[in-house]
Amino acid sequence: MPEIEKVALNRDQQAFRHLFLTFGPKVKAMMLRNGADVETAEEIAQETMLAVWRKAHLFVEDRGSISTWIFTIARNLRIDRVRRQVVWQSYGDDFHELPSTDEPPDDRMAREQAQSCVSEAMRNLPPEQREVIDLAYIQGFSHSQIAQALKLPLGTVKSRVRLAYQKLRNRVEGTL
Amino acid sequence: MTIGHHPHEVTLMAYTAGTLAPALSALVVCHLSVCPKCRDEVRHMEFIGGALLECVQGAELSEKTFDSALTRLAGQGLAPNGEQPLSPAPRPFMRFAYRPAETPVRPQASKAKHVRGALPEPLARYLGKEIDEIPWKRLVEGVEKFQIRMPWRGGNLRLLRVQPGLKLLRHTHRGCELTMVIKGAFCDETGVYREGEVADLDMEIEHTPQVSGDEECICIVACERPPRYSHLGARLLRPLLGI
Repeated sequence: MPEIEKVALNRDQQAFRHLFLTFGPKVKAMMLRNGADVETAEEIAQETMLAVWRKAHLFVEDRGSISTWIFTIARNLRIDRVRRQVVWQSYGDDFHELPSTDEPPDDRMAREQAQSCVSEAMRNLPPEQREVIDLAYIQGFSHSQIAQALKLPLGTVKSRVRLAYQKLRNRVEGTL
Repeated sequence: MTIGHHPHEVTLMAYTAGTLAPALSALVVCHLSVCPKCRDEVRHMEFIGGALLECVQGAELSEKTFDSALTRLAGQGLAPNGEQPLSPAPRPFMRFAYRPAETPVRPQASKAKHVRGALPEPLARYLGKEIDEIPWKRLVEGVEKFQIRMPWRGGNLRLLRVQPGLKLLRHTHRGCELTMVIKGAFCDETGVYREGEVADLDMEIEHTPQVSGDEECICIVACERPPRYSHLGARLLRPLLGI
């Protein structure tokens, strides 16, 4: 039984610990590269994993990809942080983290394979394409910020992102 | 309804990565609520985000992080072996979510659909109004506006209602601008936009939108910053138009 199911169905603390130690550091690294300080990165990593504990049953029902699910939780927590610092903090954190159910879920093996295909495709992208994807997704730069940082016209940034996306998407086609 | 004009992939990707300005994100959410194709695209993009997360070299957590997480769970009545309380109904700001139909939360919103000329569901829910309840503010003859107040700074979001035959001033944008048609149609140098469709423009494009057909046109317009008009006279008119 996958660990997330043990967490959801049996509230298995050992399985949770293992997930925590696998994904917590990755989320922390992503937040650090987003520009968070060490303390905030650690907090968001912890909050993300607490959400995994609380919502495991929702995930299990949907049978999505676990890393995709954790990615969306961490992203939403980061957005909430940024926005809270501005003015507002009165909304709940729940339903937008439910994985997609637009289509009936496929079997998990196929998804896991697709995931490692994408990871591999990512490693094989030309450096300039990998760079823009990394800046956009992991470091949280907007496209105009990327254009500024790399001293490139916005159009060039857009076409690089689009090219890279199409390569990655081809690897996923038909499995989602 | 067939949707021919969608947000640029780059815009959807920024939305997925969480880096799109809140006003633009809110408009994307409205489009997603009526566009299965873009929902599918975003799902692929989230999947790629997951793969990227897997590729990231982890940063070591401090030793006490896991233990303090358990303490927090216990403090919230969610002891690791305990029962989970039901979550309260959430109140997000226009985030589109793909909810299973059986989810008890807001079942009325579980099916994304589009009623002709109606406000997109996430916007109607946020405003607590339908389109015929909007308190329009007249800008000039034939043009009305409703400013959507957002809980955060991060761009400008408004509804615009323009009578048939009218043409707006030629202008460029200082950042990205997204326009989604919710009633009628408009056209500009880049094409004709109908209900549910999105014009995704950036600062490199100058355009002169005009209402197409004999019906009024209602749009949601989201931009990073207010538009800039091409002629000095037009720029002087801008405060008057307020768009």
